[in-house]
Amino acid sequence: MHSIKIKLTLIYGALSLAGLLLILSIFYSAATSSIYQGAVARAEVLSDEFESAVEIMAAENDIFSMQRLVEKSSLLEDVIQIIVIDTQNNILAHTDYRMIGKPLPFESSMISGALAQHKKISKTSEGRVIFVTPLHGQTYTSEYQDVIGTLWVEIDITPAITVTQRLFVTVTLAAVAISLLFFFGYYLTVKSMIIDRLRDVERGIAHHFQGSLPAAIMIKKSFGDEDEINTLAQTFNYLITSLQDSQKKLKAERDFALLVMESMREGLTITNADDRFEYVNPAYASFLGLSPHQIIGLSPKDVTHPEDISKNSEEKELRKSGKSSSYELRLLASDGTEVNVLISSVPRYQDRKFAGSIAVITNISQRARLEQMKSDFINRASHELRTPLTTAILMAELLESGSATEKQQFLTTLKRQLNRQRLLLNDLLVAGRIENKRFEVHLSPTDTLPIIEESISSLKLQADARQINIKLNAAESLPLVNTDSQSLIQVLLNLLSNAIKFSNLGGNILMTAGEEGQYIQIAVKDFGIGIPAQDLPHIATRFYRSKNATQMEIQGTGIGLYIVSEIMQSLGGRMEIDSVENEGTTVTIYLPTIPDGNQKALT
Amino acid sequence: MTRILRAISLTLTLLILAQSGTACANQQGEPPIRIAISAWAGVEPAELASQLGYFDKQGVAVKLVHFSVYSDAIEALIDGKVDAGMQTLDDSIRCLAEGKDVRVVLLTDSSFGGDGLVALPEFKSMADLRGERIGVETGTVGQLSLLKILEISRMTTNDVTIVSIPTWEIQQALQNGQISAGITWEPYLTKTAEATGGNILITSREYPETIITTMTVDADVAADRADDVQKIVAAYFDAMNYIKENPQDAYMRMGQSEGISAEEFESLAAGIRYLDLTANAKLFGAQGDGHVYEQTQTIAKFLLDQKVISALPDLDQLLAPKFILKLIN
Repeated sequence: MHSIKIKLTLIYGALSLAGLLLILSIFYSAATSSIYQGAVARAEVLSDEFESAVEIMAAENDIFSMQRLVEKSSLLEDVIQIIVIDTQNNILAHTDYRMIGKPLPFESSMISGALAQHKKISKTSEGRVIFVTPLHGQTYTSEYQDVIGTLWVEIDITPAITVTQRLFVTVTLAAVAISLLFFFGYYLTVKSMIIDRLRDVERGIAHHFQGSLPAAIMIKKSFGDEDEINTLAQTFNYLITSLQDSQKKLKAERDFALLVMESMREGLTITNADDRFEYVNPAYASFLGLSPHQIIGLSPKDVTHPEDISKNSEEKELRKSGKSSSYELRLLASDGTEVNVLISSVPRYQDRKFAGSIAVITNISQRARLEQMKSDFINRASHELRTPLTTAILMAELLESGSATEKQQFLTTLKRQLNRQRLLLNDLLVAGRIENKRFEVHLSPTDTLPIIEESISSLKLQADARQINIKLNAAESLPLVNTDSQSLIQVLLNLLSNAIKFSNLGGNILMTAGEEGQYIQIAVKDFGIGIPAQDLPHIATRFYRSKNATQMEIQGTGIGLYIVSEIMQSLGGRMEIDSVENEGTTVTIYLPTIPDGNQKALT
Repeated sequence: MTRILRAISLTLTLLILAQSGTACANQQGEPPIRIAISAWAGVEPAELASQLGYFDKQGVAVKLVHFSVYSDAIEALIDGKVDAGMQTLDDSIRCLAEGKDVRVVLLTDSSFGGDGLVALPEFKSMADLRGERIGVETGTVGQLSLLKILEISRMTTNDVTIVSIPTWEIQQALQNGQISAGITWEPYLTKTAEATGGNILITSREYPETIITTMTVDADVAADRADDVQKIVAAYFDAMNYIKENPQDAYMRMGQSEGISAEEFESLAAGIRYLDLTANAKLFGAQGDGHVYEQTQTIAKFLLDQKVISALPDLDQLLAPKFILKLIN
C-alpha cells in the first residue's frame, strides 16, 4: 500500500524534475547565446560610431583627439579595451594612453583577416566579445579606399553571464524546491484521494470477514460523487451484501439439513474416501453408547463386530465401484454389546471423484427383541389358554362316569382350570385395552381388606395344588382408598399367581397390608427363584420374561407385571419390585388413601 | 488544477524576480573601484601598488583608469564615471566648488620643481613673455601654477594671453608655434624643454607646498565602501614601503609606467617630495589640525581671489584623515 504512493510520487517527481531541468538548460543556453549576440551587436554599434571619427582624426593626424575619444569611450562599463592600430601593427590610440606608439603586444588573426578581407570580424570567447573593424583612409584607389589600420573593440560580458548564471541557479533551486513541495502535495493527494480510501475499503472488507459490523464500506464524497474508488466501494458493498445473503441462505439450508440429521432416529454416517467418519449423527452415536465427536475420525471397521469386518470391507468395495446396497451388520457398542443394524449405504462423489459414502443405519436390535417377545408371547398365550381348556374337557368327560367323590374332585379341578383361564383372559383383555389406550378405571371409596381376602381365597385351589401356604399379615383396619375394586383384584390375583408360580413346592407366601404415609401398602413376598439382577429393570416390560423363568419352563405370558404396573399407574399408585435371584421376590403396591378418609373399615 | 498551476507559476516568477534583483544588486556592489590616474611621478606609487598586486593582497578590486588628459580625469570623477582620482588638492577644491562632494583620503606628494613653465629658447625670462601666448590646461592645477608664477613674477593674467591646451599637448603646441610658453609638469616638463631646446623659466620650487597631489574619492563611495577605501589606502602605503626598501626596482617599474628609465625617473622624483604614512599623519594631524588644513584654506582663498572659483565651498568634510589615522593606530 505504501509503495503505490511513493512510487507514483517518485516517478512523476523524477520525470517532471528532469523535464524542468531540461527546459531550464535550454533556456539557459538560449539566454547565454542571446547575451553574446547582444554584445556583438553592441560592439558593432560602438565600432560604427568610432569608425568615421577615428578615420577623420587619423587623416588629420590628430592623435590627441583620437586618444581622448578612446579613453572616454573606455569609461563605458562593459568596455575592456579599445585599440586603434595602424597597418604596421603600431598602436595609435589605446584605452591606456601609455601604450601609444608601441607595437601591439599580441598577435591576432582577426586583425590580419580584417585588413586582408576589408571586412568586420567579430569573435566571442571567454566572456568577452572582440569586434575588429578595418579603418580606411580618405584617399581612394580605383577599387577601394586604402586601409590605414584597424579598430579593436573588446567588450566584457561576464557580468551579464554571471547574472544569468545566478538567475538560472536560483530558478533551478526554486524549481526543485517547488517541485518537491508540489510532489509532497501530490503524495498527500494520492494518499488522501486514493490510498487512504483504498485502505478504508480494505478495512471495511476485513471488518466484514472478521464478522464485526455488517460493513457498508465508506464512500467519500469529498472528491465528487462518482469516482473509481467510490464505484469500487459500491461494488464491494454489493458483493458483500449478496455474499451475506447467500451465506444466510446457505446457513439456513445447512441448519435445516443438520436439524433433520440430528433429530433422526435412524443413524446417519458420512465417510470420506479414506473410509473415515466425517459426520455421524447423535442417533448413530447412541447406538454405540458414544458421542459423535468420539466417532468422527474413526473407521467404520473400528465399531464393527469382529466377525462382520470382512463384510464391511466387501461393502466398502461396492461403494467404490459406485453401487448402493442395504445390508445387516453387527456393530460393537462401547460396553461390548453387539448392536444389530440395517445399513442403507450410497456412495458419494465430490468433483466427480469417489469421496466416501453416506449411510442410514437402523438399529434393529430392539425391534428384533420385540418381534421375538411377541412371537414367544403368542406361543405362551396359546399354550396357557389351551392347557386349562384341555384339562377342563378331560374333567368334563370324566364327570360322566366315576364315583361321587371322584366327581367332586374332578369338579374342583375343572373350576380351578376355568379360574385360571378367566384370569388369563382378563389379563389379555386388559393388556389389549392398555395397548389401544382404551383402559379405564372406575374409582370409588373402597375397603381393601375384603379384596385382599377375596384374592387369596380365589387362588386357594392353585396354592393348594402346589402345597403352598399363603399367610396374610394385615392391620386390623385400613383407611378407605379411592380405587377400582375389579382392577385392584386383578392386580392382587396377578401378584399372588406369580408368587405361587415362582415359589418352590410347599413354600410360603407372606402377604402384608398396612398404612404407609398417605398410602396403603400391600406386599406379596415369596421365597422362590427370584429375578436375576439384569432382568429386574425390564421385568415390567410387555412380554418380557426373566431368563431363569424361561429356562425353568415356568409357564407364563410375560404380561402380568406389565399389566400390574400399568393398572397401578391408572389407579394413581405405584408398584415396587424387590428381588434377589434364588431368594425370592417381594412386590409391593402403593395405593393413595382418600385425604379426608380417617374412617376405617371394620375388619 | 489550472488554479494550482497558475499559483505555482506566479510564485516561481516572483521568486525569480526577487532572486535576480538580489543577484543584480550583488553584481553592482562588487565591481572594482575605478581610480582615474594621469601621468605624474607623484602618483606612480598607485601604479606600483597595482603592478605588485597590493590591492589584490589587501582584498580589494581596483581598476586604474588612465587618462592622457588630466582634465578628463577630473571630469570623469565629477561625472561619476570613476570612483576616485589621483588629483591635486586644488582640483579637489574645484570639484567641491562645482558641487561634487569628494573626500581627500591620502596625500601622495608635494611638488618641489615638478611643475613649471617652459618657454621657447628665445624667451630667457618671465619678463620676455609679456604679451605672449602661454599655454595651460585650464581648469586644472596648471592654472594654479600659472597664477602662482605670474604672482611671483609680479604679473597678472592681463599681461599675457592664456591659451587652453592639455598638458601633454603643450610640447607640440610649442613646436607648432601656437604658444611661446606653456605650463606643464613632469614627465612632460623635462621632455618638452629637451625637445624644443627651450628654457624652464620657473618651477614649483619657487612656490612649494602649493601643489599637493592627493587620492580623492567620491564622497558616496568613501562612505558606502569605506572598508574598500581603507584597503586601497593600506595598499598605497604598502607600495610606498616598497619604494623605500627596493628603490631601484621601484624606480625602474615606475619609470616604465611613465615611459622612461629608472635614472630618468629618479631625476623626476627629485622634483617632488613623496609623502609617506608618517608625513601624511603629520600633515593631517591627530585631531584634524595639521598643516594641510591651513594649506587647503590658503589655496581655496587664492582660487577665490583669482576668480577660478566663484564662491568658497564648505571645506570641512573635504579632508578625510580617518583612513590614515586607522593605519597609524
